[in-house]
Amino acid sequence: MANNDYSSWKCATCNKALAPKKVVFEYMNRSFSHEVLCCPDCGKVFIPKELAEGRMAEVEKLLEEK
Amino acid sequence: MKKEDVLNIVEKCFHGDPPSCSHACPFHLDIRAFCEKANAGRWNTVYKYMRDSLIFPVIVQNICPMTCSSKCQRPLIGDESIDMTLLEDAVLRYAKNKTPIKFAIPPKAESVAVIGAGVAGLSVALNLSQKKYKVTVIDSNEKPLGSLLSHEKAVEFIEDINLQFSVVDCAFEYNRTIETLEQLSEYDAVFVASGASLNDTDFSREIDALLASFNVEYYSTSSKNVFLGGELCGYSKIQSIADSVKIANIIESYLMTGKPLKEKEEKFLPERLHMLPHDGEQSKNKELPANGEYYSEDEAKTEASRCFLCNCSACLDKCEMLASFNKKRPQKLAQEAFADTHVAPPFSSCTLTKQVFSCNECDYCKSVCPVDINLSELFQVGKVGRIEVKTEPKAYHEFWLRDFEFASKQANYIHFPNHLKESNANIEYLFFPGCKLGETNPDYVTKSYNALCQISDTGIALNCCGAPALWAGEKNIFDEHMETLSNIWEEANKPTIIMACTYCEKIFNKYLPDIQTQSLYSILADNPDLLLLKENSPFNSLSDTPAIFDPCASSENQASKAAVRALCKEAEIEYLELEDEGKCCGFGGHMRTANDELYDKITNTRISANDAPYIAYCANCITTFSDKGKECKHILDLILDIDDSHFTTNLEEKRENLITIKSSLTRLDGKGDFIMPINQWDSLSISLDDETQRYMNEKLILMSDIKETIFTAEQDGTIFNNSETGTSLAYFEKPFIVIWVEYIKTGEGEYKIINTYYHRMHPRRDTNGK
Repeated sequence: MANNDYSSWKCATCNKALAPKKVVFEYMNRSFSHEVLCCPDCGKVFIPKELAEGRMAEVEKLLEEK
Repeated sequence: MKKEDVLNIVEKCFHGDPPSCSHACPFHLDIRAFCEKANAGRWNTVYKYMRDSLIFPVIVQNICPMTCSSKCQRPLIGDESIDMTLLEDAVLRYAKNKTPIKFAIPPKAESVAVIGAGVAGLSVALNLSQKKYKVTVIDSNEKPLGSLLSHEKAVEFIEDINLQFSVVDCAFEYNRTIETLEQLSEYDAVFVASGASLNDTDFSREIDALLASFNVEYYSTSSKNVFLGGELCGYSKIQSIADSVKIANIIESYLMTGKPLKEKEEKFLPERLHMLPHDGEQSKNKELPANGEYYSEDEAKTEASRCFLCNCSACLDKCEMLASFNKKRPQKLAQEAFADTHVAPPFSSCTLTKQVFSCNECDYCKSVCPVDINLSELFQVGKVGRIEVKTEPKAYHEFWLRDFEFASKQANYIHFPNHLKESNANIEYLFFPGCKLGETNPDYVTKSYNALCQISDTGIALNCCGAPALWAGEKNIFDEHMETLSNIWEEANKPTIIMACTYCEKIFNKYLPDIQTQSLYSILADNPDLLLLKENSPFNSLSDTPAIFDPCASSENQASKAAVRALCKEAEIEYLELEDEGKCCGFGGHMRTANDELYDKITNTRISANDAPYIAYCANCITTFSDKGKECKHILDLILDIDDSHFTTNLEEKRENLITIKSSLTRLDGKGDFIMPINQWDSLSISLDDETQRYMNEKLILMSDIKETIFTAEQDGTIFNNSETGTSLAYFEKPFIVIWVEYIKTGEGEYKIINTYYHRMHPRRDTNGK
């Protein structure tokens, strides 16, 4: 996953390639929306390590401190 | 908790309070601010401080006995006190802007007569004139100053008086002698400061009579609009000027309400006067003026720089956590900790979250505080309060609360020596090793227990002391657990509990004070024949002369501290003492999850305090230091011939160790091995590399979490596949985190982990479902 190219990832149940979609995340009684890759059929959200430990961790820290 | 209760925790804190010199000063001049600004050469600013506090700065500078020197803290290290006479003189000399402030307030209707133009009368007259009362100063002399007229600087004094009165409307009637009080009946209030000498007038006699009814608190008399002051009443000139603000306020309150009232003194109570230690301050001689008379500007700055600027900041200086949060002062921390418990997201936000959850709960602040304030009490308020309104970041303590559940509800056990059960006798001693000691190496527990059994019949209770719940602020869980422990003790017929962990002991002593405790280390030190010293000196397992690292809770546990040193001597191990004692290794409070930067900073500071390997007697210190690559041994390693191949810092192995210990006891009790309830995913076979293992350890992800994730994902279909690499990426939503695992399936039930990670925020569930 190092190249930030996630085109080779597919949803295992639907076997479809992933498409970007705006998803709302909830944490600490607040919500935050971000565009992430999802399965176009079942809506499963794909979160790579770079996102989880990057932007998401940043936002979590901010929200925790509120 | 109510706001007052929270603020009460820091009530005695005197950070920011006036220093001892200000207490002694009759004017309570802010000498600290004075010296700070004088050091910077800000003469105009300092002049304003002087004028605002001293009222007639030239007069006061010349006649003040400088009582401040008696409470200057420089002499505590053998130096002379700061020379305020010369410093004030320098300010008067070098300040350029001395224009008094003109107050733009509407004039008042009431009139006040001030009898006597000495400093006592003039200072009250000035204050009331500034408040726009109609003031008339009456004196039988032709000039002001009264008895001070004979002073060599009388001319400069009169200049000072004229300067201060230049911006107010005040009438002066010189050469007028008052014959009777009746002559002053047109005035709404009268302040008589006619001096010590008596005239042969009716007025003099009237005042003399009124003196008999003089009320010292209110400067009042039986004649309700007549107030007295100055040398007439026996006050010194300096005291009279200093009291003028108070007197003017009393007269004003009489004019406004018909009754003299005064404010309660709060700031300068004697119990708020504290001297500070001033460790490490350098001795500096008092600056002497080169011309023998007055300071040059530079000399004045130098003398002002000698001021310690006394202000207690012991906790802020010594605690890394407080320092990392900009040394926010205790009073502010208290206000914010309280406010945070009343936050209603998303409308309002907390301000103190990260700090509250960054506390090591080590009580070090209390040990350095001159008035014994324990700031962790404030942070507890913050934690408990937020849990009550459900605004705590659950992710901070979620793992540790699971860990606590494991130790107290699954790996818990109590065992009594078999022969006692047969005879139905009571045990006198119950060994309580705590959960972490056995996790690190089962030998620590089993070998200690064996040693104890050789001295006396001893039972053993495997459980947790409850610290994780306390540190999480989960008051209900903690209180419940204290009851559980108390019941265990009562059911065992109240034995003495032998503790292997000073923090467990601290919790027992504080929350279960009826239970008598004893330190394992004291007992071992008292019974040296039980020690199992390795044939070659245990010292050989250390690379160099070690230093003893006392755990944070040892500061209240002198017995353990002394015992560990005695044990070293018994084992012929020479040791060094570390300088800063009582600070937490970093583990305390489980603050790593909330603040890993600070955690790293603290742990690195601890391990670099001394290059020597450490001997510790707390499993958490050992784990923390080992993880950072520091050579360290538990004291038990050196005296009980421990097999250190059983040592681990791996989360999974730690839990297995607790089960190993429990199992050995269940076998002793004839119940066979203790088997953990099996989960469906336990049989999965997982291989991973060291880096992933390290990461899991740091981020508190268990192997069973990985297994559960893969197992559940395969059932629920929460998996993505990568056609290029052939790897799969599974996720599993646990209550407070979402775990992701990238893996390759290498066979039926066999998986090789590529990497793993997690996040805390959850995607909101769509109605389309996932």
